[in-house]
Amino acid sequence: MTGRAALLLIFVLAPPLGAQGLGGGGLVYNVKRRVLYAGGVREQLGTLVGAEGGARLGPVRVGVAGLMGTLSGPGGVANPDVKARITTVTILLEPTPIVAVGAEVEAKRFEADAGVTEWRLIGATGRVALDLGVPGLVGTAQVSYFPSASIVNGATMSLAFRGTVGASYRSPRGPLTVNLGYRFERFDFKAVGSAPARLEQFQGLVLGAGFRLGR
Amino acid sequence: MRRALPGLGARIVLALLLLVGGWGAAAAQSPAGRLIQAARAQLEAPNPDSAATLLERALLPGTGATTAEQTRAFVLYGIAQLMRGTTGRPMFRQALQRDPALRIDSLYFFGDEIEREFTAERAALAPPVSQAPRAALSVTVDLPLDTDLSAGDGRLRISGGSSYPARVVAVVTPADAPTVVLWTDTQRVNVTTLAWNLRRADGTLIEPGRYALRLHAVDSLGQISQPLERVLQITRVTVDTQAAPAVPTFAAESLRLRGSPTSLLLGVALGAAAVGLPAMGSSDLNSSSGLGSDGSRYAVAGVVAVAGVAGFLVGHRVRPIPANIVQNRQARARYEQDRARIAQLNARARENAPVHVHVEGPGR
Repeated sequence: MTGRAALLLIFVLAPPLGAQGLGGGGLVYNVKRRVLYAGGVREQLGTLVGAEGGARLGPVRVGVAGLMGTLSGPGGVANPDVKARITTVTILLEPTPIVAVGAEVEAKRFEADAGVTEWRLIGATGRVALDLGVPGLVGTAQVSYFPSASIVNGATMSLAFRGTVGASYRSPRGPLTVNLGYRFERFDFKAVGSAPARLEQFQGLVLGAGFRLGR
Repeated sequence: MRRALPGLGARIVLALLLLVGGWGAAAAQSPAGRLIQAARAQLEAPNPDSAATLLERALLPGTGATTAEQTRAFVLYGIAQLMRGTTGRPMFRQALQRDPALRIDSLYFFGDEIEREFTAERAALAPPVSQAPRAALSVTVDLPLDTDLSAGDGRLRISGGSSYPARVVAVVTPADAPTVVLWTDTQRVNVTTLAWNLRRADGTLIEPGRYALRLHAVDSLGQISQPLERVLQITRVTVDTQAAPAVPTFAAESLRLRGSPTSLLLGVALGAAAVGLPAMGSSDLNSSSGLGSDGSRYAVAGVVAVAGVAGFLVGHRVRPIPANIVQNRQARARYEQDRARIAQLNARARENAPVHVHVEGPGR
């Protein structure tokens, strides 16, 4: 199921299921990708654009996000442009408005002239939302750790995690929301055979704007 | 109004008077009367011939028979004739000529033919019925122009009349919906005044508004009068109700405090976390590529920190006051109870308020 289909499914199914909250909006991820491989560092920059949506049913919140765009950097053939597509599905249990824990599944797809690489990440995630004293304004921090992370038909990651810190504002008089965060992702690939280990990091600013109805 | 029954003493005196009167009457009976009495006994024997003979003697001019005795003699003579196999109608005619209102129901037991012939003779002697056309049937109504009625058992009295004997039918409908019958009634024997209890057929009291009362009369031949309509304006008499209880003054349930230093600390801490987040990355990668070029984390850290500062400076905290919360809850419960009780009392008062009926236009 693609991210778009999952997003559509959430919006279609949420009202009949009696969801207490529904939200969605646009996402922009201004990302820098850095790869350390065989002693050399390669950097790529790009802006991924997408959308996110979610619904809350009791203490459970289900969310889907999708981003896509092109990462490019200097280097010509040695550092070719990559079309990236990221789809994330999150299921969070929110026992209190402050803390949420759950599971996260993410698929990353990188398409270059040389071929296509797909990553599969399955892991746990935790989030805190802390009141900053101004109505509607909360500081957020979210950490995701993926014990199961690998490239489809390829190498397995020895470490995969993501951290995001930022702030979120929800208008007390309306459904509009704005999110701003700094995201940092780390993916370590073990050395396989004669191939050396590879380290990848994604980092950058994440900006989101949308609406949220209910809790 | 019923008459009081006489007492025991009065009954005894009455019986004695009747006894004395009866003996006196028997003693004072005329010869004709005695002959008629004897003839009656002969009829019962049955000896119609002897009875006829005695009656012929009683009817002779010299017996001094009164008109009543003559009437009775002719009746018995007619019965004797019937018992002898001939018609009794000439004798019955004689009797009816003396007393047109004569009834002989008590003598029908002498034979079946008696009633038939007597009735036929009465019909033959009866004056012709007037065939003149009757005046058109019309209906009248007598209503009080303004009246207050109890909502519980009040009844609006509707006195209907007609130009000649006929049944009066009354129907009540909403003024603007003449086909929706709310109540109807018809005059019955000895009941010329109808009474509407201001309720529908299902027993529910009607709402205030305008209603149409329509009456028409129907005679025994089925002729129907022109309907007569009166518009009734029904309102509820304003009753005194209790004012709703005053809303209690609730104590503050929380204290509004200035922004917490926690906001400031959280903002700074989250900002620091944003700046330090790349430290979670690979040292090899971080050392080989300057992190300083990634300014976005500082931007985010700045925004979050400023938000924390803003929360501290312009934000506020709310500290609940449990004692006031409990006190307010009790006061609110008492207020709600009082309000519900008074609302119930007022509703009952309004429900039982008298109903005022005003007849628009003439009541008659």
